Amino acid sequence: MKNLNGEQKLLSKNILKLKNLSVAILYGLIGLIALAVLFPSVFTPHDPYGLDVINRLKAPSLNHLFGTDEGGRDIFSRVIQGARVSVGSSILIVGLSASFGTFFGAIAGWFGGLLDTLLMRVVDVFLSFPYLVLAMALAASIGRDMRSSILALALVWWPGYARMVRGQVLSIKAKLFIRASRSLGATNGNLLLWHVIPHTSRAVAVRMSLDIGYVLIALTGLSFLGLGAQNPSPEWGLMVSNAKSYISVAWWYSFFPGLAIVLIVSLFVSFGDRLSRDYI
Amino acid sequence: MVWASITLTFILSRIIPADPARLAAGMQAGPAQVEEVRRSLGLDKPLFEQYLTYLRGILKFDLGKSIQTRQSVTADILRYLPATLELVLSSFFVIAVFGILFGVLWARFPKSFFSKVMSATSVIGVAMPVFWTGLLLQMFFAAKLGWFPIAGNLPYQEFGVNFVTGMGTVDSLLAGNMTALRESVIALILPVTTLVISQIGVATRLTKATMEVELKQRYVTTARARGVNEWRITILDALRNALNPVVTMLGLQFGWLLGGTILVEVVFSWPGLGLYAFNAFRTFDYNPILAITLVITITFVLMNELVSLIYPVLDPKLRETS
Repeated sequence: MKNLNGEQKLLSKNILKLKNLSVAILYGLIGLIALAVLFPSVFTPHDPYGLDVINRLKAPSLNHLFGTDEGGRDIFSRVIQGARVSVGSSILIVGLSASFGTFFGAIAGWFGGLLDTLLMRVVDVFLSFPYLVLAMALAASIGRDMRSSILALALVWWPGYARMVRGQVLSIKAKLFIRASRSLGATNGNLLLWHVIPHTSRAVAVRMSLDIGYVLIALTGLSFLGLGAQNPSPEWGLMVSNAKSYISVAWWYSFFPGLAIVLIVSLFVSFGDRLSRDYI
Repeated sequence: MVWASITLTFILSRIIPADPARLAAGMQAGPAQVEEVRRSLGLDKPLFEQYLTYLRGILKFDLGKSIQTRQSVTADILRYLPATLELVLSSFFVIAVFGILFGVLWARFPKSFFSKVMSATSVIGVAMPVFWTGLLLQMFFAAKLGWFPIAGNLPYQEFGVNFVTGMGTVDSLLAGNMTALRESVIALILPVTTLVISQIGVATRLTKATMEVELKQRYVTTARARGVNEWRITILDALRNALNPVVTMLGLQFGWLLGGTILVEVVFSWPGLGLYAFNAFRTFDYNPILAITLVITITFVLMNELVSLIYPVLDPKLRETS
């Protein structure tokens, strides 16, 4: 009984600790972003697409927290609306690459031999490919829009997962429980699906969290070059790109969309760091 | 490896639906003229034959012609590559020197104010998109304060410097023009700072992580017990052992810089390969895009080879096995 009390005390002490507070804030912020991606219109005070030419390029004020752009549109509302485009697409890209990469890597690691060598060669080629150039070629072939940049980034991001999962599968393959279930009559497919891949999911999840940040940087970079989202989309990179012509008159125009990118990326990167420290 | 990426780029370029011959002939050209251009560019031949021609060209350093500039792509690349190299090499130098220095100090004084600053800034640096950093620097230091030029490298004509290598600094030195040299260094500062901010955190964090491990090793304790000077231990013993992964990372970063510089070049209108690629893309000029992919990929592969050559120099343990 005494012991239990001591433990409880320790627990309550821990909750008050700064470290846990920062964890709580971290989760809270991620929840907030999820809400903004799912229901952006709840948070937008103005119409993100509504033109208001009289109020063009107005400095930040209480009515327009982040100021207005060259069409008089409220930048704050556009940044919120843009979360769905930018962060939403990054999550999609990471999801696509992680699922395809896991599948590819698991097959290579599990079956080994010539197939493994061949598949890993493919991975190497994709890894050495500069993503910007790939995105340019894709954008030229299927059109300059969000689809081409999503496809391009997924194409260059999956090999990382394939390589990582393959490494993990190689070590899991040798474990005793795999032999045990095989002796019980489990087929290759069963083993992969129910025993091997679930064991890789933890590392994959950590990597996904880190990658959402990095993909966001790459994606906004593509839009900045005009390869991704097109006007009037409130995609963050595109907004910074539009703001390029007004740097001497409207600092807020490029500043706030960029700041949103920095915040989201550091959030996901520190979240991923924390996950990897606590769970791996 | 190189062959595979050549093939991949070739395939990518040919699935582009825009008709290169049409673009090359110009908007007013009639169908007969477009056919004429198509034949002269060899675009009417079967795809496989075009591919073979292309491969043969690469072996002879003939990468075809740029449709827009109407010059050979090899000439174009030789013209624009030095400016990019100037940018990338100076950034790389700063990243290598200061990245390692900061990492060592960070690991050496883990509880200091400096290390707190480092742990905060190294994450933010990675999180800042390169084009945004560049734009902010440009906005504040060039447009507002006017300390640096807003765009471009050395204005050659203004200073009467001949275009020899394409690197502003080297050309001014060759001309013996000191004001031009000063000007070209000043023009370098903002783009280099942008690249450094985005990339230095990686080198610093890795150096710090490996140094932390090394400083806990027994040989460090032994050396301390023998009364060896603490800095001697840090630099000559620990850093020497910690350098291997850092060098690998730096090699990869060089490749990244070469690819990632396109964003910086677009922001600062730096007349390098990135800007050239960007303009080529906008006009569906695919020979330059193919060539630039090739140059970047080959550099990337070469850098990795170079790094594996440096390993035995840094680590005597590897020397004996190989």
